[in-house]
Amino acid sequence: MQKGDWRMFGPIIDELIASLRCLPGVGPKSAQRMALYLLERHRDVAYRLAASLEAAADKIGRCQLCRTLTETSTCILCSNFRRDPLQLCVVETPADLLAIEHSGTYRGRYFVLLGHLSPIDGIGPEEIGIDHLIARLSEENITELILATNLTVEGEATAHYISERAKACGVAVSRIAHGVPMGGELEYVDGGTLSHAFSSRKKI
Amino acid sequence: MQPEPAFVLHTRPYRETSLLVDFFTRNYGRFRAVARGARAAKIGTKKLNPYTQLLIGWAGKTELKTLTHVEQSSSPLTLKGDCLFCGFYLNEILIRLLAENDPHEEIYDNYAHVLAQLAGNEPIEHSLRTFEFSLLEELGYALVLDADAQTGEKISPEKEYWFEPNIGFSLKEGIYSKGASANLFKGGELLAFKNHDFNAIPLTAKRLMRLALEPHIGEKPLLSRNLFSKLKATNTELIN
Repeated sequence: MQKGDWRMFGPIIDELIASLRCLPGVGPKSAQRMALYLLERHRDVAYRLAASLEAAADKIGRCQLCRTLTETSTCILCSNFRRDPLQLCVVETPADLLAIEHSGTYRGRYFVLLGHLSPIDGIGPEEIGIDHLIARLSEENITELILATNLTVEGEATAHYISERAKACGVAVSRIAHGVPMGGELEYVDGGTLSHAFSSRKKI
Repeated sequence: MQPEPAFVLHTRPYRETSLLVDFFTRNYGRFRAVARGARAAKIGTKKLNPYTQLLIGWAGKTELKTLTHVEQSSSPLTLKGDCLFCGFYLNEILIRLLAENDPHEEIYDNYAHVLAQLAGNEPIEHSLRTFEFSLLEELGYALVLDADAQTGEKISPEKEYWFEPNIGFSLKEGIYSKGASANLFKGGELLAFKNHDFNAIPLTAKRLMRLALEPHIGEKPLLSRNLFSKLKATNTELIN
């Protein structure tokens, strides 16, 4: 056996270690530690993990309205009648949605693209459900579309693409503001952000 | 190593916190490098934006380099609106057409120039055509616009010519089927094209460049071009 080879327990454990490695941030060493932890003393945890993984992989789908991950046909946010149905906020990933929810400022509904336009990677409007979004705009009574895609080149392009299509539907479109972060010192803010902050300054 | 002027053509996530970056450098051509920890803000993804002239340093002897140093050498260009799609288009054709590690200083300079034009809201079509034209020229696929490819005779403004990609223009003979008319060009248009007078013949210039670039782009269609045309198509549909 070669030095550093982790294949020494037999095929089942090896397979477990290999499967754990598919998780982000998990290398061979941590995968081995996780596997041994579960098998040495925590079989009950292992069963619970296995059951919840299987249930999740089986039952979690996408919300038919906003495309976020959910186990029901429409997610909790979309079926919550207290959320403002007039506002729709477009985000790239469910993680972005969570970030906005944690900020606690937005009371409207969401649309999750699950990606951004990136022609070089072969991701066009169909792949990120823009037709579905436009269909919602024309069917529902939405008055404001808030574009909260990332401030990367791809995110900007996605926002521009959506805004062009949405304006054609007669919906007011807005883009989240960008500028100096809270607690940020101007000296350490990069030039691009500062110039944005200046060009979109507001009267007080 | 001296810091090398470079543009980012494309980035994609790599492992937990790193990025795979396609760079287009002035003296070393296009290559791919890993920016370790770039997503965890060690180097800072903010700096690795496309359309910004950077100075970079890298290490590594294999095909995949490791980025060691990056700084902005000019303030970032902000492309807005449709220009963003044009930027995608430029980056996509550069990735398709440039061979790895094949330096093209001229193309680099032209690229920097066309980006500045796009950021400065100059007419898009003219800038793009000039860039495409010079790109073909630099890569050795220059179009011969003043002579018949078969006979070598001078192009006459009144006659019609048939364009065969990679070969050139030859005098139209016989009657072609309707579907093939995309390859037909008037002699006068070719001469205007030669003089970079793209504004006089915007649609023809676009058609010609598309045909001329086609054999070099590969089989997969350019998605950035589709993006652009799709947006225009839906909008005109709705207006009509």
